[in-house]
Amino acid sequence: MNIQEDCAEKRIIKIKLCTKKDITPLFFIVLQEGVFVKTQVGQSVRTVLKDIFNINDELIEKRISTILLDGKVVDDIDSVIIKENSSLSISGAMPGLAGATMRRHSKYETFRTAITYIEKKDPYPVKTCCFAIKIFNILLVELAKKLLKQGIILHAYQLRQLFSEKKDRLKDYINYAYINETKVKPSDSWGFMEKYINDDRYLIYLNIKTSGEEEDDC
Amino acid sequence: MDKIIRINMSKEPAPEIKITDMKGYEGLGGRGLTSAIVFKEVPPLCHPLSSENKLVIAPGLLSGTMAAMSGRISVGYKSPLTGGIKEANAGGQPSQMLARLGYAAIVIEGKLKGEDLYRVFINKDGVKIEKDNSLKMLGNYETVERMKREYGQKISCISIGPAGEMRLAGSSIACTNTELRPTRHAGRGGVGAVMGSKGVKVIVIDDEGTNMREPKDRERFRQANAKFIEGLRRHPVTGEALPAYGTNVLTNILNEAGGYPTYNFREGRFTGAAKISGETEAALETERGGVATHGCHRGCVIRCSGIFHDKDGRYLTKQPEYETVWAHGGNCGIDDIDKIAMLDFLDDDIGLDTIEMGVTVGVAMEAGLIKFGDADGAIELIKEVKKGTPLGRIIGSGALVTGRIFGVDKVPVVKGQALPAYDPRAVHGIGVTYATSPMGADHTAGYAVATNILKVGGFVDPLKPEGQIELSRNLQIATAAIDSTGMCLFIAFAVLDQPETFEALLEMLNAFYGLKLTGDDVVNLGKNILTMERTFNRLAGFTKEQDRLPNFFKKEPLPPHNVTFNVTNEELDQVFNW
Ligand code: SF4
Repeated sequence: MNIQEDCAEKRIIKIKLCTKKDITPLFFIVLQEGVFVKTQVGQSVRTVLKDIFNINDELIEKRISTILLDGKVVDDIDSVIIKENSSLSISGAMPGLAGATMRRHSKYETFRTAITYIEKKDPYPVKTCCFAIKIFNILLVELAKKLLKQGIILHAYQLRQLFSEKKDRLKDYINYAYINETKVKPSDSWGFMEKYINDDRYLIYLNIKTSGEEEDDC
Repeated sequence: MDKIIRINMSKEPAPEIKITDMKGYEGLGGRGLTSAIVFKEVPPLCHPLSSENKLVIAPGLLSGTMAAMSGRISVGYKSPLTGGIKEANAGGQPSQMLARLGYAAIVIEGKLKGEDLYRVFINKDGVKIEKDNSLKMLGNYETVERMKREYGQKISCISIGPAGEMRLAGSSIACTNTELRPTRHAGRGGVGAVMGSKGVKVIVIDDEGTNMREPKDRERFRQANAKFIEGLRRHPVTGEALPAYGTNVLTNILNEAGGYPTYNFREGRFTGAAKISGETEAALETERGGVATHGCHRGCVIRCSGIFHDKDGRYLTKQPEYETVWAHGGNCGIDDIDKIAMLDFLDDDIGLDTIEMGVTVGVAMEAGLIKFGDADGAIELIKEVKKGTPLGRIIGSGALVTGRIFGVDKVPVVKGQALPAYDPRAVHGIGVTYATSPMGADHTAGYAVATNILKVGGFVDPLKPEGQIELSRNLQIATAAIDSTGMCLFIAFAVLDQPETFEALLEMLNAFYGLKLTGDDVVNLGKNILTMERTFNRLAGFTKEQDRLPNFFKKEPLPPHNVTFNVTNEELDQVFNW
């Protein structure tokens, strides 16, 4: 599966869920494993973080203390660029000497020079495409909801695994669903979703809002 | 805390107990005291299981006081695993209780003739030792249950399981936690084997009728403690990440960075990491009615531990820590958190070091004894240890022995001790500490306080990163000093970032003892401890050739970043040049 080709719409099924209560914690496991987001790449880590989470600089500085791009530790979030097929991981403060070593601009950065991200000087074009993101630690609690509200893209099998374990609880929580922009009755929504998540050809664009917390119609 | 209990197991017809003063060891506690006693009193060339070795159990300088986080206990001895000096460290209740009873250390010396087993009981009225062969080969859980039936619920216990009785080099000593469960282990170096060789199964401590230790300057001490606690609560690691997820929150980030040793250090990433991460573990604990935030001793304000229930909601074990989850999990290709929790329970009950056992099972997998990912096979291997079968005794003897017996050339040990959960090819600086620590491969040896706060070795420009050799040296010095206080090392995260929190710690020591310690004094204490430990090892036959990582770390690139450990031997030899 080529993620960029698939991200370019043709195999994406859009599922928008409006839920009676916050179901974000059910997604913590897939957010640790990694999901995709579609945004303008070719921009700095800071710009992309602000875009996809809708957060400000203060929150980035205070809360996102560890950032890895393609498995390497990023110190300077203004000069390192997110690219097509990049994999970005973000975490709150981590314990242990190893945890402290992984921090941005850590006092112990000499301990991990082998895995520090060095940005190439070549220019990189700004364009819209998918990249992978993983969220760890306390940031799951703080940022997952924002990301799900903006929308994530994940493999059908990921959602299938998740739903198979949590199906009963999830069913009760769904207020209603939109599937490919069409509003579906709560009683029918599960059947429609299953049709797509059982088919590995699909990527699912998932967008979740909680009833009573949004300005729009959820 | 001005008395030492000395129990001479060689005396006949019964072991002899003497209570002595601190002469020659004044002002020392925790690792400072254990290493000083071993250094002065144990012949470096003795056999670790012989009558000449001593087992020294010491609370820290601040244990038994109102000071938060001060309940760690140090256990010192000559190690049957490394052949050198060792300090293994544990949480739980015994440290606070022993300190409140006024004891700075228990020293068990000599050796029994015969195979009898003893229990020791310590309370405000004194110390008793009794023969109790009914405890033979009991697991730590059953041993503690019996002690509860006999002495009540208000005790704490320090015990060994069957592994210690069999004198296996992977054995641990268990300390009971706040629920009187034997879950906090002085794990490393075969410490249980030394207690087993002395013929002591369990030490029961009852502090009823005692009070908190009184500081010289009560008000100053109270204020410093409040400031210290405030600093711990304010810091995002000690105030948020550790209480919420425990140390296992490290799994994801180490894995992502390609520094999570997988399949016996073949790879740096494990595909099942998210299934066994601290975030997943904590959610499961809460869902099953366990506890995701729990302190191992009263007075812990970080509370990095938890209580793990099985699928039916029954207690199984404490929250397995990062090192355990890694050793039995990713290192062995196992991504089932319930099976890992079962392995944690078995290790605790049999009295085994979880790091040593996880790495040993990984080596057994490398040898083809069972396949990587075979969780049930791993459980059976650990159960073999309890049965005392020849295979079980091999496994219980650790990674080095297992590798030798099964002809494995890739055995991740330094000075005979298994490497913990950070691949030194990805994080070179930690590799420097693994290689050079007098303790053998030890992740906590260079853990502690910011060198910029302590100004170890002069002023260090905070904007200029130190070289990894200097940094490893300075961290090892600082850690040795912190290990003397009885403080849990996890305070380091707050102390290293917040100078005022470090100052509060120093202030507590000064207010308690009426001292005027400065950062320099702390540095000197750390240096003295390391010097004693290095000297002991040199006299035990260690040379600089033991300060090396196994060669495969230099030769085999670690995927995904394909990095190797490139610190030269000459650089490693500079670590202790001060
Ligand atoms: S932080 Fe964790 S290890 Fe340290 S004393 Fe508290 S519970 Fe025990």
